[in-house]
Amino acid sequence: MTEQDKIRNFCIIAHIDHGKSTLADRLLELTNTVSEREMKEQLLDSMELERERGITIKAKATRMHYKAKDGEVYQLNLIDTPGHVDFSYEVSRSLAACEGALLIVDATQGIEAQTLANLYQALDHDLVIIPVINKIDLPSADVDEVSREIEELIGLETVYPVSAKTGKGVEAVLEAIVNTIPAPKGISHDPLRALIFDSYFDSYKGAVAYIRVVDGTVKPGDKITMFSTGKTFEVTEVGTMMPSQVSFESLKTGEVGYLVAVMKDVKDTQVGDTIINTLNPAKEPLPGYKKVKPMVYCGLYPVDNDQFPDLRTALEKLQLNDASLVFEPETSAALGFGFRCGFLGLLHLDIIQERLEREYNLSLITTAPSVIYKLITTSGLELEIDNPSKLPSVQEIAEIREPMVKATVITPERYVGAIMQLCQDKRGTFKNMEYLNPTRTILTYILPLSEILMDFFDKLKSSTQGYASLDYEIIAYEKADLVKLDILISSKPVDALSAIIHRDKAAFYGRQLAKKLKEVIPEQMFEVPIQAAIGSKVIARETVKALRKDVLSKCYGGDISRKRKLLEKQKEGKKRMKLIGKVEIPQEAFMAVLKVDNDD
Amino acid sequence: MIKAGVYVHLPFCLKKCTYCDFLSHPPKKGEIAAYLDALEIEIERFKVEGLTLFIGGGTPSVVPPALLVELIHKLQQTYGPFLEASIEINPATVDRDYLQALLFSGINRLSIGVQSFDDSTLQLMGRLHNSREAKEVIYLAREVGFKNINIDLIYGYPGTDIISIEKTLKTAVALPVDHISYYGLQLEPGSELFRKNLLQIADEEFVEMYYLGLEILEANGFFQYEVSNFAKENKECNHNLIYWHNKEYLGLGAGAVSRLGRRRFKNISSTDLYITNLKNNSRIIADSEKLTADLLLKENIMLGLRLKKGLNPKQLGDRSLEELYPTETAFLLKEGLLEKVGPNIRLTKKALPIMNTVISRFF
Repeated sequence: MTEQDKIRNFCIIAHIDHGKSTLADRLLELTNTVSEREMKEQLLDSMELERERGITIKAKATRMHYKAKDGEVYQLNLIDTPGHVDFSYEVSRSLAACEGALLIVDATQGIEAQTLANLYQALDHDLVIIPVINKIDLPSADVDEVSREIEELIGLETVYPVSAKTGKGVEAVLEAIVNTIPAPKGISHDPLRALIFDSYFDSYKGAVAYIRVVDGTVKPGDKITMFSTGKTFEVTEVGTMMPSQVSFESLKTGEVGYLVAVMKDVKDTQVGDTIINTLNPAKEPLPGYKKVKPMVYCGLYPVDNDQFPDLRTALEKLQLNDASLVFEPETSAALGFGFRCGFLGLLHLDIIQERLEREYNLSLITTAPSVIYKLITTSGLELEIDNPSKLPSVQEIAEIREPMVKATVITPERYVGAIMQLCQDKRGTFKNMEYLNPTRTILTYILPLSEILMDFFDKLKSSTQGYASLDYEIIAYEKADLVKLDILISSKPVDALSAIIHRDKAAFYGRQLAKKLKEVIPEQMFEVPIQAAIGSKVIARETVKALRKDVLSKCYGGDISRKRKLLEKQKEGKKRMKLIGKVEIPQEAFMAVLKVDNDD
Repeated sequence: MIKAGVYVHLPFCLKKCTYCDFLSHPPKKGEIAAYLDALEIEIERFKVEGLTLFIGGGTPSVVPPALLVELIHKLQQTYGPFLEASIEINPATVDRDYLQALLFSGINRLSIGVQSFDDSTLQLMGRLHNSREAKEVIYLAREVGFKNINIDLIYGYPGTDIISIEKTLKTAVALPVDHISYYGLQLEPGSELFRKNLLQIADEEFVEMYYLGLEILEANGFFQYEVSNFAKENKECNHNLIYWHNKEYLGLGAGAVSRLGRRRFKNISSTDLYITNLKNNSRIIADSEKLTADLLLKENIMLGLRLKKGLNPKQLGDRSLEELYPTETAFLLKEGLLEKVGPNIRLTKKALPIMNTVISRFF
């Protein structure tokens, strides 16, 4: 049993690809938590999808024991944090469970916007920062320059150059963790207060919470209450990950681990919530809890209407593990029965959509993502609109407001002009520009979130050759002059293609969208007119010409089965398209609004 | 006994044409004789009453006349007599004696792989004959006594144009032939042409070539009876009609397909395996499929709509297409893609170039 003063809780802050997982692997090896043989590469990223995308979605905690140079054995708890803007609330809760953070910066890249955002969050939580400069084994590494950036930002002169790949310098990092990060401060004889910083669903144990015990102790048999919901459970198991689950008699003040209490649903283990002892309840919860609210909505529809119940089941299963995913049934005249789903952001949406298709074998149509608009009707009613097709007619709207973000872009100086142009095109307002070092700048803009959803990130990457990085946070709702753009295919409005666009851009978008749809809708047996309209005014028109020819095939040698199978395949291909009226529309058409290009 | 069409596949040719992906190759030494021995064994495995015979390839006329005649005799003895007995020949591979031997053996219909009467087109295609030789063979066949001659023509080959195809069509209709198959080039992934990656004819021009064929052929007494097939009166190919009516047929040889009773099955494609397995008295069937009522219905629609006379309710178990697929049929009729002819329903002229797309609506 480790004394409280020998516990060190820390996390790692890093940009994607800067080597967080590799460093974590080395730490686990050096502390003999995992042998090299057992080490799958990047052990902490367990979900297949995470591994493929090289990002970490779910935070986890791993306990190591390290015998330091002072001869003492320390308990180190590494809390893994998600690295994407969509999950910034989860990041903040993970940070709240730590006393220190390793800031990893790629020696060949320097600090990126996402790292900066998380770093500032860590400083807000008063964490001790240990700057680690990684990839010093690479020929293009520039340790001095990156050290200067770090010093400029946080005034720290001591940096730890390492190669997580080869293991060089990692021992020194472990010593720094022990020597500079303070031990947890909680009071062991106070009533229990434990912070939930993550959870997942286990089909045998139910919802499992990752917790940091701030005050007191928790052990199996204890009756616990969730502060935000008041729900009560009995603890059946506590333990920690080393890195596989090891159960303990108790989790004590300052310790990090998991808790099982026959909770049926991850909604019972809300991230940020405080667990208290039912019989000896603490009076105050831990600070910082908020209910996570989705920011981005889209419609998910099965291509084949028969799959609707399967889609519901799949969403319910995913929700077991992901309390931030919300959905409710909706009906579209064009697409039939589906769900309006809310996500934390675009990456979250992408991940869910991919898991539905990959793990549940569903063929889906995703409508273009939309933000939540707030509007006031002429009769004084306040409405929240998460679906463009539900926007009332112009006569009924007194005012529309849209969510704005503060966007931070870190970029080499030579791209500043291009980025300013881009932000201007995206209705941005310039706020600030700072120099990180003589060649890298931090730009701050206020932008509508809807513009970021469109294609801002792609454009940012392409106009800076991938050098710029972006972070943003939602700050306010602002009034805007927005209109609904409708798309009519074969003269019938297709609700799922409607979009809410700024009035000044509507005509341009309408033309581009009609053009894009013409490209993605295949030729049919008849002409297909496409129209874009605002209200009753048609602003653009394109026509998909009728199909001229398919293969005039011979039917040689009686291989009729083959011929029939070819037609079956042709039909199968069409099943992935949605039949709207008599027009077959491919899945990608519904995302076309995001692909509208400014350049042509 | 089952009445069936009989197809025999001879997978040999002198040289592979650029557009071809059929099962054929230049024969190895001794391969033809071994293959024909194997065929004899296969022939003895089936007892059917042959209605028609069709010997196809490859280029069947690559087989030496004595061996070919022996094969035909065997087929006649086992399944004959045939109402119609066709063989495919290539202009560059036959002479008067060869043709005479075929006629005496009971062959009464020739299908000649002419493809074009334009020499530069023939060269592009990698054919071994020129247009003069093609014409000579046709006249020679008539002289020898063949009363039923088909020529195959291909349109839409890369590098050709509407003028060259018009020349070919006008030459064709002036010749003493009874049947013309007018095929649009299909770019097959297994062909040399596919690998060459040439600029393909534009869809508009391709369709124009097809319609020009319809016009010239019909105006000269070759009546369309199937999407790609045109015949003088009573000279339709009975063997192919068996396929299009989805009736029974026996396919012999490597890669050949049979439909007998409720099954359709396909022989192994490898000539070597075909020969060894038959020698060892073992199985040569690679694929077999039970034709359920549902599959037969789909196939009958697919095949029936290829025919000019259209799809007859009899082919659909005495139910009309409108009864079976009311919305689709009504829609396609309204769009002018299907039309009614008495009790039958057929594709309109406008629908022919997009036949697959139209038919797949019923799948």
